[in-house]
Amino acid sequence: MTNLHQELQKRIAKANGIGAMVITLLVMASAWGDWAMMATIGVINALVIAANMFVTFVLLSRLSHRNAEITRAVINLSTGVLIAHITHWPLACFLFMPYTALVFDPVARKTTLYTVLAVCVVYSLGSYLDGVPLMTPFVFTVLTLFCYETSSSRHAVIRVMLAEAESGRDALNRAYHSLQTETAARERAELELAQHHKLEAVGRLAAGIAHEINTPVQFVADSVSFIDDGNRRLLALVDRQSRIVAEATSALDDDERTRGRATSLRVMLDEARATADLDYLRDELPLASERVHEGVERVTHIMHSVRQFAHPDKKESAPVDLNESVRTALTIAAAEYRLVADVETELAELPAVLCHAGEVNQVLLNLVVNAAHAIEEKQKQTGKRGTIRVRTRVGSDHVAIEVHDTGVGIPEHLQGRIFEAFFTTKPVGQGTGQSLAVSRAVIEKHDGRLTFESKVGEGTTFVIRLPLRRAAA
Amino acid sequence: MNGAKKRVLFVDDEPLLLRALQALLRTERARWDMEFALGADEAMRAFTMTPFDVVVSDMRMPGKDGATLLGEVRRQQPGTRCVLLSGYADDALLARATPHCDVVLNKPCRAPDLVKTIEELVERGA
Repeated sequence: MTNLHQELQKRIAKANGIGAMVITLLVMASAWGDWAMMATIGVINALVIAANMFVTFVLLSRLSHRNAEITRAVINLSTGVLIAHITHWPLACFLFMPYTALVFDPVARKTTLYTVLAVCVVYSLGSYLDGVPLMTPFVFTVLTLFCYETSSSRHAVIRVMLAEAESGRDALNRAYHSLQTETAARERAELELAQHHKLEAVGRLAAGIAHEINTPVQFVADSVSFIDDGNRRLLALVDRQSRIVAEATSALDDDERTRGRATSLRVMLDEARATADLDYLRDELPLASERVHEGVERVTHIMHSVRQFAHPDKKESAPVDLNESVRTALTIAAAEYRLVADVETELAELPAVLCHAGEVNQVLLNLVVNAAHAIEEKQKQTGKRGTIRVRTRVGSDHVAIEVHDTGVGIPEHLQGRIFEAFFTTKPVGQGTGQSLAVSRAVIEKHDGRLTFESKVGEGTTFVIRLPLRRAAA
Repeated sequence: MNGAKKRVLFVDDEPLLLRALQALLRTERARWDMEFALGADEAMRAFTMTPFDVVVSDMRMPGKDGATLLGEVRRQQPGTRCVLLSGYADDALLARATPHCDVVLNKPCRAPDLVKTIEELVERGA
């Protein structure tokens, strides 16, 4: 484009140069025989050509375009009048005026027009004063104006075409950029969708596992209940047998011949009890089965949370108890924080909020796991346990869930980036696999907001706000 | 044959679970006549021979599931009381089973709850 442009500019300059040379030769030829005159004309024209070159290549870059053109016009005009005066007016007029009009670069159209008019007036006046018939300047003026109008109109047409091409190029550029942006957004959306499907699949798997575990848990609990009941009955039997033995041995005491036998039987019984550690069993067996029941209860609770959490089959929004969601997320994430943090909850009484439980649970889990990791990071430096505090509260038009941690905090230079897609500071395999970008998108899909405040070394608080206007009655 | 005893059928595809239930509920044998069937097919064979007052079935079993089994039981003997034991969170499946059962119990359920549920159904059925 620029090469072609330069090429064309060169062609114009060449044409102008040749034109100037031809004019010079013609004027010189008109003075054939008068050699001094010819030499004078040659020198003057050479000077004019040099002046023009100077204006084009030097002044144009220093002066404004308009001033450079005016300067050139004045130089050419003076030369034209001078040559006309010393040779013949009609010749000079015919050669210089249209040529001058053609060479003008009509960047500032008005200035150029005035200059051309000035040239016409000066030539007309000059020729009139030198006694040339008025017809000559009149014809020259018409010819000049015609040249000027044709050349400047051509310029205008080219300019319009250029502007159109440029605006077309700009539109194409804009379209290209928006296409690029759209492609990137689509790729991101596709990746996030894939991530979402992955999480959904994991949830489904977890719910399935939770179901499978229920059956063994059921028969473990049933069997322990049975063992417990059996123990009680066996102990009752032992007690009754002991009383029977006591009665039998005391009967033996009555007779002097069997008294020794009775004593040795009592010793044998005591020994047998001691061997079996009967008293300990009596105390500890019920506690053991109590422990099994407690354990089963905990497993049941965890499995219930997993099933609650995954909600793999619920696709629509439904009224959700967000406090229950908090408890569920804390149960599921227990492995992440138990070693490094204590959990405090402050759960206000909440109305049911219409939302997609599975998605909101996922966000909550993500925040709790992030909190645990932030605290774990800090514990490596200080060796102290941290605290995760989860609060729920009701505002005038929303429900808020705050997840606060006493972890390392988010450095200020990263605070603006944590909601960017795929932004992570964690090595592969850590975290829940959901980016904060997705968490925010999920909350915003519910017309809510996900915000945070953080101070390095002190901790971070994330706040989920979900609108209450969509709450179920 | 004790005519006054109520007949209860337990159905599950897990033999260990059935054995545990059998042991646990042995104390109830004076008032209930209990049978334990491994899977839906065995349950239907037992049911066809002598109908039961109460059927307690697991939801998820290979082949015929609990909902289908209870549906068949109801077709044969509409007065039968049905309990579905479910560890499955799929609401659609539960909804399909609901017309055929009186109570849905979540797995795992504690023995006293199961006994109480059966007691209530037996009284209602009497």
